[in-house]
Amino acid sequence: MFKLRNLELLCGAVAATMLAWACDRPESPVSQANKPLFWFGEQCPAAKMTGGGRIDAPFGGPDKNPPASHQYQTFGAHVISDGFASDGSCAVKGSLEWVDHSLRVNGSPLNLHSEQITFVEVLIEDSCKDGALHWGGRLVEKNTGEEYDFEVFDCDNGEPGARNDGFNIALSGPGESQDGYTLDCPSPPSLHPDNICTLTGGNRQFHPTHL
Amino acid sequence: MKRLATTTGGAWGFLVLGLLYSAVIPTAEAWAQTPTASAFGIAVSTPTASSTSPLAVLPTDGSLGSNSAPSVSVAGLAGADNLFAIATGSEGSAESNSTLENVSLLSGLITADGVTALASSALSNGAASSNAEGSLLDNLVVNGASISSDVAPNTQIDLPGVGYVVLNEQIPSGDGVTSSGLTVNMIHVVLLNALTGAQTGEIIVGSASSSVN
Repeated sequence: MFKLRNLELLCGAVAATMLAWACDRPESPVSQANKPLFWFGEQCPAAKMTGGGRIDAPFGGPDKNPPASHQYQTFGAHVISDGFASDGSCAVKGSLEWVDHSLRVNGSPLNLHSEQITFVEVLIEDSCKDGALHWGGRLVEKNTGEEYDFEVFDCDNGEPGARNDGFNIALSGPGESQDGYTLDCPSPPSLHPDNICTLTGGNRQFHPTHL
Repeated sequence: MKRLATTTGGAWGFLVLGLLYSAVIPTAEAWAQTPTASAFGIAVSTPTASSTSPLAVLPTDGSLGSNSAPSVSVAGLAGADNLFAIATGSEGSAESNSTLENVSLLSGLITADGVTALASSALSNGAASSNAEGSLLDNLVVNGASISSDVAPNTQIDLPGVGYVVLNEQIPSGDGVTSSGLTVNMIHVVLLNALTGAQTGEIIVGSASSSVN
């Protein structure tokens, strides 16, 4: 009996180890640049995040960059998920409008606009006390018409959003000119890991009633 | 007979009360928190010109509205390049922003390399609040004088023979408990009749508004 209980404990430990190993996701395009891996939670949760604002990058801190530097980004984004649909697909929708004033493409700031949201999952991050999501899909670079897959790191760290909440996006093909685009944040001291830029203005709002 | 009349009258009374109730009391959807958000690049209102562009308004389903224009020009009054306006929000939260470049008003009387307006409102932990953090004026020059990029809210400067301009105009609303709102107009020119002092028009550049309740 004693040996049987030990065997059960051993099996439990092995199962827990395998589960933890299975949950360790492969590196994302952002994390391939030797940046910290995030831990992700529930896939396609019933969740909602809304809002927009301003980020100052590449300097990346929550302070406004010098005048006329154009080293900042403005955006609006929302994602809403009702969880898995009956056919097993993720019932997620949303949109992203992104303007990077630091980059000029055909004489205008880089302008990205989402076409489709395809995934959302919980982003486990201690610096986002009100909630965090990792989501993305397909977008178009309006300056050129090139399309990209994108992922968003979306963080609500309370009110006000300025100097607390965080956001970043990362692009990968099939388009070529902005393949690998992401913001390089932050400058220390920072509330968030390297892949999440602290907002200079605006707000990200996680809606717990939807979860 | 009298009892029937009384009963019928009572029923009618309840019906009228019910109709009044349904007309006065909002539906469950209307009870829900209703954020608003909007933003625009340039608005001109004079006897000879009236336009607002680009304009973004938060849709009623609480998602995202956006609009942009490569350039806007209202002859002799206002011009700018690379204009973007975004409005987002949902219950308990609203945010909007507007950005412009190469702003020139009144044939160069007022110029700015860039204008950014942000307004953000949120309900959290029993309090409602709004702010304009992130708003900025890049290399603003008014009537030949350079103005700090972080100009104080509601700074008014006279424009002799023209009127006056309010910079970083901030108009709050709400009680700060159950509701809060803010309109940010980064450059607000008020045109006055030089003889009578009566207002003849206005130009607003870089506007963002948000509110929650």
